[in-house]
Amino acid sequence: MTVTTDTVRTDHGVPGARNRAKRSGARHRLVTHYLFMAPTIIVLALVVAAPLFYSFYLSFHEFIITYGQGDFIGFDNYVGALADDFGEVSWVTMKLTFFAVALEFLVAFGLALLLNRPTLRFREGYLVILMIPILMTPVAVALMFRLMFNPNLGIINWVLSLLYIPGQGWFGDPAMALPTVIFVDVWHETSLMLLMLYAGLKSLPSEPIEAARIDGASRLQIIWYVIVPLMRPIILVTLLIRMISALKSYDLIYMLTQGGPGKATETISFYAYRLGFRFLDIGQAAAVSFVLLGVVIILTLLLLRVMREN
Amino acid sequence: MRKFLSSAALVAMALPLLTGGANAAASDVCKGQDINILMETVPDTTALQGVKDEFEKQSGAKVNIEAVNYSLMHEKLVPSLTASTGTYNVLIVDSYWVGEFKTAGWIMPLDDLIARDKVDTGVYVPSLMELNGKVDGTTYMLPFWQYAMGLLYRKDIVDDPAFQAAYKEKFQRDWRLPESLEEYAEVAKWAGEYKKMYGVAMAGQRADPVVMEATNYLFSEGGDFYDRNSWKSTMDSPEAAKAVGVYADLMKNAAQPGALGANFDDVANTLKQGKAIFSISYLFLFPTLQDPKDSQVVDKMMFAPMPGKDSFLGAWGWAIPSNAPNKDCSWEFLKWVESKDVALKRAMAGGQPTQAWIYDDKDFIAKWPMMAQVGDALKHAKGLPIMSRSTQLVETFAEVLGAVLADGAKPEEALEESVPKFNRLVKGDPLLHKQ
Repeated sequence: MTVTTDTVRTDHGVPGARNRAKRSGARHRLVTHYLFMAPTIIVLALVVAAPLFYSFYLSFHEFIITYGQGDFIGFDNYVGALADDFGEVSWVTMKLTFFAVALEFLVAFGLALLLNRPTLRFREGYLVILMIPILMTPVAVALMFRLMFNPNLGIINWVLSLLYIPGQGWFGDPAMALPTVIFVDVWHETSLMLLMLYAGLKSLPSEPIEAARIDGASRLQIIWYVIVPLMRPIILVTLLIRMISALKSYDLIYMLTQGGPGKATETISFYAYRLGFRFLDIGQAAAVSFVLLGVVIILTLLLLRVMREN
Repeated sequence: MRKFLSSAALVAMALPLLTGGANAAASDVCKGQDINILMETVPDTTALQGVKDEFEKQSGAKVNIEAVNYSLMHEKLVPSLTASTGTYNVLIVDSYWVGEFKTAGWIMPLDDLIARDKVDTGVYVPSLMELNGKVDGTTYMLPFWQYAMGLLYRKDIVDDPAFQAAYKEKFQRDWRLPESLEEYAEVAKWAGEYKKMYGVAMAGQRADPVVMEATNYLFSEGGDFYDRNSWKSTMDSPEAAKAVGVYADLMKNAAQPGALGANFDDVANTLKQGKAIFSISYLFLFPTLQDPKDSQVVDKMMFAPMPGKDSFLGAWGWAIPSNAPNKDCSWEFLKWVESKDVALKRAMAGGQPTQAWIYDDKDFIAKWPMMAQVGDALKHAKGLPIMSRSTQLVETFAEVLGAVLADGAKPEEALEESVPKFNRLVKGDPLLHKQ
């Protein structure tokens, strides 16, 4: 430290030398920064970038695990994957994403508004209870609902039978399978949205709401004309985050239906899994994954833009 | 020089297995070792768990059995088998993985070890040795248990004189077990309506459950996936269309609710609750159907061979992974588990024997009378073709069945569309020209 101070003093009045010293210091600091960051960058490169580039490379090769890696085949894997069932599974993914996210948002926003009421007692208790689903692993959730919706042993059909309503096939019925999966997804994922929206409501300024109340606005008018506009950026971010995760739905599908009956609940992620681990066609599975990654990147860029704007 | 060194290294690695271990007792090669095995949650696994202590005492090894649902097994095995050193010391290989595992070089030949230790493979049912023992004349596995399929039915119901009288009135003939697929469908639908029960319990879940079940229908009609000489797909045959049509008809008109999402556990539960009369399913369900703790149909169920021409036969075989850490110990375990004494103990505990002599054992037949029918069932049974991509064949057939059962496609059209996919699966397969 003393040495540096002396050096500066010695160079005082010589602008070129001072700039050189400054530049050399900055360079030194930069090198130090990179040195400190190097372990993280190396680990990230090994565990994130390397597999990503390798799978991108594989998506242009014929690679069936049984036979080993084959030749470079250009875009054939992409063409093959998109030509086969991609349209169908994309449509299922879109329906699942749209209905699950929309329902989760409506339920979560309603609950968040209720929780935010100043007169509410035992708020923390309710919050803890409402957070339970998100604390459970998707596998446990799926097993629980598989049993509940079991057509022969499940409690749901038993309750329906008490009401003289015929039992349903649920996950085994092509018409009911996707709505039932969406129901399970809503049960499991609403908590996350609730947490984000509730945090957003808590951070709103109280003055505009107070002002509206004094002006005689009804509760609904306050929600629609004051709270929703103020919450707009938070709502957008919440919806986008949840959409990105819903687009990648795999675990619940795997445990509940294996994508069936037929392809009634097969999402893009499950399709990629099926190509990779059942058909052992790693090249085509990688191609499908990169198409999905493209969609997720577009949504993420949108999310970043929304966040920047607000 | 490099070639010489690598050959020398390979010989050095193989030497203990081929010579050094010749007279080794299990304890010499297994003491302090772990034997990890991935298994399916079925009666044969339970039976093995009941006797594995004997091997542990004999050898000083610890046998770790990881029992999981069938659908998880293949995807857990593949990453382990592609690693340089695998997690599992012993494998059990499903009959339709055999070609894939052999082509990929994941399992090692056993012939030298069998010859060295004079292991008698003549004890096995020949069709099972062909299905789950040898590939291209080389022995890769010892058959572990078979999953013969056929007709499971409620004996108490069909033997009831009132039922038989109603049957005679309806079909103008004396009661008999169905002799063709068409007759089975007619009788099952009628019996379900007559008894106000489900005519059949079915497992329509994708992919393995629905394919195993529907393959019985295909073989029963005389259909097949390929002409097994030219290896051109025959899935556009009238027999295949009829088989899939009958399967879809029963699924829609006679099965339990939610059958399209059911697996064999659900079939067993439906039968155990006394809710269904017939099922084309696995013989290995009997230990659970006969369990008085949670079955209402103890001594009420019986087994008969599949109506029609042939039924589907599957089996599991013991193998040693090429990347197993201690192959000597793995082989000692295989010899022990397939020794006559242990094989009989497993069978008595509810296992499905692969050694022919057990089916003549009086105590065994007295405990499991339905097993007397297995001989007939095996004579008219065949497996999936042994090809490198038979796992994918199962997926492809599941897609066809899904299109028909869930999306309402016509069997003829769905099958015709699938033919190019089936043909793609055999393209360049090194195993097929030899079959």
